[in-house]
Amino acid sequence: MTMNEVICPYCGTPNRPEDDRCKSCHRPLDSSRDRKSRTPEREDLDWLAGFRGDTSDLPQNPDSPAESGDQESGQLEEAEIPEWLERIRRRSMEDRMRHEMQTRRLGPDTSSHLPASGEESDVSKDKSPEEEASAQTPQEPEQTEQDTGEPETFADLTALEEPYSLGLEEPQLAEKESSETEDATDWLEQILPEKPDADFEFPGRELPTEFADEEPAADEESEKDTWKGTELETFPEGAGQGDFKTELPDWFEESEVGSGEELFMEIPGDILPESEQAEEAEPSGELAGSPIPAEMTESEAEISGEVEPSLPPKKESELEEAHIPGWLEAIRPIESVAPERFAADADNQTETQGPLAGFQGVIPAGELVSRTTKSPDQSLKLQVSEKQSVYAGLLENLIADEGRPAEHKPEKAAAPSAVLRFLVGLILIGLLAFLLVNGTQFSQLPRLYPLETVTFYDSFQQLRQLQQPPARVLVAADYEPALTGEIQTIASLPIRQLLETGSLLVLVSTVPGGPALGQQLVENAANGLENFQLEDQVINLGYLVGGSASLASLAVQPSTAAPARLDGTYAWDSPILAGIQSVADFDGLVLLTDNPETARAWVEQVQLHLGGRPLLVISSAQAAPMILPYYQSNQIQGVMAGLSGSAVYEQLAGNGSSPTRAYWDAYQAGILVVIAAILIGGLISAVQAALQRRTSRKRN
Amino acid sequence: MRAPVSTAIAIAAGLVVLLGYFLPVPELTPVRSAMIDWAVIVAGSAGLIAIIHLIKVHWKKLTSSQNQDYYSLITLIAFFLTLAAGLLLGPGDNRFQKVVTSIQVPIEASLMGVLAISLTFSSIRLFQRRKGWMALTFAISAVVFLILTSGILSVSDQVPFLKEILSALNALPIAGARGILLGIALGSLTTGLRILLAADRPYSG
Repeated sequence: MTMNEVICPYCGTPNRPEDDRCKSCHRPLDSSRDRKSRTPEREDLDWLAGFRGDTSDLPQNPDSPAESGDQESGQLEEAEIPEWLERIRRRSMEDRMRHEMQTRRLGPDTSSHLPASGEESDVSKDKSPEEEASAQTPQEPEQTEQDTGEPETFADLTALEEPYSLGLEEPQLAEKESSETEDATDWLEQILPEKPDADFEFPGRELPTEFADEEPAADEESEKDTWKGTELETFPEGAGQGDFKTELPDWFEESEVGSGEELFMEIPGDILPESEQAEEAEPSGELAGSPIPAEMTESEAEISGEVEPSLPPKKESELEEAHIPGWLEAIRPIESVAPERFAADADNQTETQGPLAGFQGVIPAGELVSRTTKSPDQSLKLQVSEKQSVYAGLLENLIADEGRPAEHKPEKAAAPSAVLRFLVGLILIGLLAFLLVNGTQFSQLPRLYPLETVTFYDSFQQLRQLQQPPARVLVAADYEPALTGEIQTIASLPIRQLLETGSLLVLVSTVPGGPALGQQLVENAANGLENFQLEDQVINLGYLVGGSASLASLAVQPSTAAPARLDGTYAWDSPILAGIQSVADFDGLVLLTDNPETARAWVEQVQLHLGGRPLLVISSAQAAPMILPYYQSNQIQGVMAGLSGSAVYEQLAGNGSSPTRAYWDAYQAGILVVIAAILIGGLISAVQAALQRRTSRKRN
Repeated sequence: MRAPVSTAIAIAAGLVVLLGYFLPVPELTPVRSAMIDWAVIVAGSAGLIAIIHLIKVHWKKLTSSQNQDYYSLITLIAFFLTLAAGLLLGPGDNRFQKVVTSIQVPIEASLMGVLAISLTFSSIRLFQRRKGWMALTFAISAVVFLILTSGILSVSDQVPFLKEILSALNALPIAGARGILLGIALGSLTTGLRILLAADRPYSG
């Protein structure tokens, strides 16, 4: 950068003097030109001259690079004076005063000069009289800037030091720029004659010629002594050797020197804490061992136009944030704009445990792993809204109602049911008993004979007429004990007639109580018969197990289906069963039943194997309707159903002394009572309903 | 197909018995007879199992801690006494047959009488419990057929058209019974075919 170039105050890009706008950020350069035109006064660099102790070597040529460097450094933005700088200025003032006292005491020959390379430079001694005078009265950089508009001291320069904005412009910046102090500082002029270290080389740059032959400052020891005599803390040996790192402003980074290069300067050890001293990196070699402060050397480079002016080092806490232009902000990744404090905190943290102990800037794994916090107390109480609680209550009631029996409403009765039931029973039993005991006969036997009863009679008579040999009739006593009275009453006459003609009866039953009932039937029917031998005419084969399956077996092989008598002896050696191989060998089958299912089973399983033999059924009145279809289909040759059928049979047989006649009157009386009960009950219900309607009409 | 062996046996047995009825093959007759005898034995065993189960149920009711039924004790006593009498006396003994004729017959006959009285009482309150055309229809049919069964209308053969009327009325229940029997027959046929075709496996096949 040359002296004629104009540094953009926003982005730090050097521009031509004739340019009105920055070629990079296209912002006006008027303020920067003004600033650049300002040159720091010599007296602003008193503090730096104090370090040196000799201001005579400083070039006085206003055209010298120092002055031009002052102009160049006018670009430095106003900033707060760092604390360390303030201390330096204070000490430099003190040293100056002390030096003046010593010179007055010892004489003017004992003037100090700039320290040699590698040693601390006693800046406080390197002062011109004007600087010393001005140093006695330290001025605020703001005041100085207000007066002259230019940074007058290095402090002013550092105060002006702000991160160069690369595009982001704030109105305050312009104001600051306008109030900046002299950019070309006097301290630059004072320190310019100091020769940098012989091995120092600006990367890619050549040192200015005026610095080439200059010898390093002599009397380093005197410098040290002087330094020590200032009652400053003696820094440890080697302190200050570790150079202080400073970050260059962005505008400097864009220069040919290279961005991000760190320039080192030697500073007194008391300025920096020892920890920072230990962390100081090795110098890059550019300014290592330079007998002059880095800023001075830099200013030389700046003046020569080879090196971009650098800013004095700052503490991390005082560094101002760089202003980033908008175009850079837009393309900047998000991670780069993450809070710096995280990175800063991580960088400052030194890992103390684990494999990364001693390293800085690493993820604190120990903390993450071992970081445990108490889990927040969670409420276990179920949060239920009011609406939900209502629904839950309804559901609960529904479930409870399921288990609760339904309320039974008691029925209203016209009369007490127990009394009425007793009365009905009493009437029935009394009437029937009276008629049975009295023997009153007021009714007539039926005159109209059912056809099925007539055919039954005819078929039965045919069986009776078989006498040589006598007929062998299979009698199936398949009725329950409950209807014994009816069945035995109606079946006694036909069975007796068979026994009278010498017919042989074979009793069998598919009901457990049938064999006993059949035996009783036969015995009662044969009561009073002359020349009757029960064992010779009747054989009881007992109970057939298996229902329909046993009937199927009986139809095909009766000797296998019913091999034994009721007493357990073998039955098929009896003369009654002689020659019987199947049911077809019987002369007829008489079925006594009260169950239509039994009749159906006999018809389905046995009737096919009868071979034309008659199947006659004596049934109770309740089973007759279900058996008559078989009669109408000629599967049954005759049916005698109930007392009415027995009454017909007796009239056909001409037997007037049958027990049927004795029961006929009671039978009809009982039916008439039931009919009357139904009619009376219906009548009562009708009257009650009519009365209720009438009452309701009256009410309405 | 679950349990193919049992299914095959069931189908084969049904086909053999069925063919034995329709085909005059002499070789099938003894096979059919044997199968029927096996069925009789199985039915008899089922009867024994039913009796044992009945004893077990009454024993549980007697020994249960809750809802103890002391009538089960009478049932079990009667059962074992009857069993003992039958084993000792034999079914042909007249004294053992009196268990049926002197105890069972009167008891069941009495129950039948109570049933008759209850039905009479219910017939009186028929229209109080059930109202409507069905109740009226039932009442009318009950009255008519009770009259027919009683023989009151059959006392005279001189009344004209009485036979025809009575014949017609007697034909009504026969018609209904015939329909029921046809339905039973068709159901039995369908059930048999389903078993033969393995569409129904009541034997848990």
